[in-house]
Amino acid sequence: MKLAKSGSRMIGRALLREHSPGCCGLVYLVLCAASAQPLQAQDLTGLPFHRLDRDIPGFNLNGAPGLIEMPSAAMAPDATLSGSLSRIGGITRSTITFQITPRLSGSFRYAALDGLTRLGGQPLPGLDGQTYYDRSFDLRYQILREGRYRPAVTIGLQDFAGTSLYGAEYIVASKGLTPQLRVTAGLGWGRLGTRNPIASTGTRGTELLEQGGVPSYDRWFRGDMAAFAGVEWAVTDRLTLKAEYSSDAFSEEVSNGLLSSRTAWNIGADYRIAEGVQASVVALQGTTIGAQITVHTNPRSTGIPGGAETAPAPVYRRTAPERRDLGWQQDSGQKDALPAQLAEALSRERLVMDGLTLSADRATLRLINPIYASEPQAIGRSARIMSRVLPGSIETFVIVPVVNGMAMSAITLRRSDLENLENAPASALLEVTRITAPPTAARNPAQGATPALTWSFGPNLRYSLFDPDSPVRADLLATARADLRLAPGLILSGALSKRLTGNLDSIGRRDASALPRVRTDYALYAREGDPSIDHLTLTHYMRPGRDLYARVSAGYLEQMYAGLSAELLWKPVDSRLALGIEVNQVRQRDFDQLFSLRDYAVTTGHVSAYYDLGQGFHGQLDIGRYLAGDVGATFSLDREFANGWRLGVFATLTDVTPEDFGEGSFDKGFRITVPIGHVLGQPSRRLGNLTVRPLTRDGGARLDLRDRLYEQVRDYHRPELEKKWGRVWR
Amino acid sequence: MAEFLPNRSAMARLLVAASLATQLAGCSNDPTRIDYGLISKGVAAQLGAALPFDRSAPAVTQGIADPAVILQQTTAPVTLAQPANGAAPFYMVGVRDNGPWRTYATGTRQTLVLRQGLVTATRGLGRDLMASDVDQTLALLRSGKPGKARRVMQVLDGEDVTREIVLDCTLAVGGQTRTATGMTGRAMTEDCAAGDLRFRNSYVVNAAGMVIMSRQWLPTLIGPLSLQVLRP
Repeated sequence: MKLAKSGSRMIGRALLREHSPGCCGLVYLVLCAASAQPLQAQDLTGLPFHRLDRDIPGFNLNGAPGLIEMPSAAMAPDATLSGSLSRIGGITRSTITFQITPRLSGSFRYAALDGLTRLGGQPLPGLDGQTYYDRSFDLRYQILREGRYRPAVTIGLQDFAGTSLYGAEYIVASKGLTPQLRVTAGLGWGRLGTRNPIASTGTRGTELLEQGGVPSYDRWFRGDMAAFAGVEWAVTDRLTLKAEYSSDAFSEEVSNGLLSSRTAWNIGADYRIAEGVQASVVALQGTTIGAQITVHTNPRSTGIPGGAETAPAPVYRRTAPERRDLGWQQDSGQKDALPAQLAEALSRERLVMDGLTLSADRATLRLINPIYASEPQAIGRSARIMSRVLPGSIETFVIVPVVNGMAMSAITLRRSDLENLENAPASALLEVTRITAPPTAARNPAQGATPALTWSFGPNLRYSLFDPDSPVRADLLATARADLRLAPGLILSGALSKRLTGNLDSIGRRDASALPRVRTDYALYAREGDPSIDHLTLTHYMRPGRDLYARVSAGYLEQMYAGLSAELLWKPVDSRLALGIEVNQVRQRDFDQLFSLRDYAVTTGHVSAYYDLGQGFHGQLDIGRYLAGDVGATFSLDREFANGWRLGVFATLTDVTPEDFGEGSFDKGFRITVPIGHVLGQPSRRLGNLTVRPLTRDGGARLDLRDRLYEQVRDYHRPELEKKWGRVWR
Repeated sequence: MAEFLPNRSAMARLLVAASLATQLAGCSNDPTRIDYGLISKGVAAQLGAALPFDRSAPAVTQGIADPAVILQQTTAPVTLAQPANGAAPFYMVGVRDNGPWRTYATGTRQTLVLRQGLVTATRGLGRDLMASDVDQTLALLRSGKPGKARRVMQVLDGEDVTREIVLDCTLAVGGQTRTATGMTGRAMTEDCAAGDLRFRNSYVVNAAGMVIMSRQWLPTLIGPLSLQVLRP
């Protein structure tokens, strides 16, 4: 962490470097997910696993649980994802908040302040518009839960790693006096200690932070301290009135003329328009009217539980004579017809047979699952089909899931168990199912049934956020994609895009960089790449040994880089730990994204450790050399849900100094994966991936590879199968 | 890449629609594509063109055909189901027995598993009942005696994790009654509770202990079902 010699200049720089390609609209993400909530809750009311909208507390203008501007001690139900958009006196704030655990929540905020041209009395040099853009991260932790007499108590850090416009800390207590009436009182520091301070705890640094992005822990809970309080009154199920005494003087906003302040009292009303949608109107500081909309969703309640797809075929229970009948072994006509019959029956479930090996009492099916996001569901449906097609003497079913030609595991089921446990809880089948490493020679190459060519053609979208000239930019493209399977595990893949309309080509900024420009030339790529080859690769997947998986890719690997990429992954079937190594020799592609290359070449690669931490958390550590030649490590932590939702954060620290890195000090951001099929209630393995970086710089940048091994491999290993096992009979 | 969207302008709103369209539009031979025709159909059970799973199954038409016609078309067991949520009634035809459990299929490929006339599982109705333990209820229905029964329902929550609904139920016995189809049996009711969840099932049970007419609560999106056995 470093303090600036002339802070305001650095803030000025901060204003200039605001945009990041490949980001997403915070509020709208939540809107998309929330709009796909078809559930009517009343039937299951009162069951402990059934969360209700009314459990979600009111959210304040900062997009976090609270009153109007002030925070409260309330927590949203675990895993609530909230998007909030508020506007008051020329200040627009959009915030995304996630309830990380029942007691911990985090927020990312993007604020636009129209007319804020001076900060701390200093003019903001280089601010070419009249609007100041600010990004901030918050964390809140509930240290005490509400009891019968005890209030809930929460401690919070606001803008804990930013340039500190919103920097504040607080400790706040809230208590419901009656089901309708809640009171809140707290102490604030920083911004929340600016009105009528009652005491002071040490000296708070006032310099603006040079590059931002680093936790400013030496300021937390320092300086002036002020008290705030408020009351919320739920008039009806939908309407809540609220009033607060604010400890925030809005000093910068007032001195810049964004709003004026007549009183410390704010009042407002929340109205629940619909399930998960809160609209608020507030009067701030006695002078200004503002409005806000907040949308809530929860990865645990999007989509239809268990899906809406049609039923699987019932298990066929054999009779005793059928179990003994070995006649089919002698009947070559019947025997030879079995693979085709099974493949046909599987294809009706949209599953693909990649091979079948039969003996008198054992069948080994190589299975490709292109459709079911729940892998146990694909296993279960296959097993049901096998029970209906295969001769009765076959007692053991071995299902070997195959991904890109690689056998991932062997799931061994006794047919009698299927017959006996079809109507038992799914856990009963799991107890008698063996999940092991796949047999080494399970492949019967003649029987593969995947289409050799898969293709698609359709619209596609690219966007950029946080550019101060235009915080939202996007292109609509027509994209054609094709995958040609040349041999098992050998895939030629390409994608071509043509721009239809949009404004990404109008990005005018080209910020200076002290590093090789490995990512910051995105504006040139956007402008010149029309049409563009998004990727064109030849990839070979292999199983070099037990627990080992390998990939070699060559060609135009991604939008900006071409070359060679090799990866080796160690992942035992039962293990929650995986280790990987990846080495890439790449050259930068020309801005037109056709076949030519630029001069910049680099060898980049990482050793990686992946670990399933349990309780739905997953950690990843990558250590290695990044695109700009910098050396360091990336830390990632995700919360994962069995239905495919995933929300996580990442940060990369390398040997690049904060000065050379520039605005933000180091690379960091958050990511959200939305399971498209789950949200739409249809079987689909498609995922919507979203990575938000407050800033895109050249330090700590990795290749954007499409086909890394780990996510392909872990799906069919024990830890993941157990998590999703509830759908085996679905 | 992500196809979700930014904020702050009407254009951005248009882009939201565009982003969804990118998931929806386009053409492909890709087996991973989503069948959007199915999404619009929803989950309400209605009789479609053909019954699944068994070639012997009859081709039944949309809407509620004459029971006599249905019974003529198949020799399999047939039950008429009426969802309490107002969705169209539908026939379900027994397609497979596994021990005491019988799987019934609708014309649109949903299934219901019944044991002694009690629904123990559903598939494809949305928020399906995945499995049930109804042994105690069944014993009381068979014996025709009032009493207490514990019922367990397994459902998937929104995260796709299995949850148990453990219900404490009380069965009561009424008098002999005749169904619309001319069958006779004893009327019984079952009042169940789990937390704030409360419901009453009602049954007409024949001499063999088989439920021939009933109204049964289910966790599914189509809600409780009224079932009438046309052919056991």
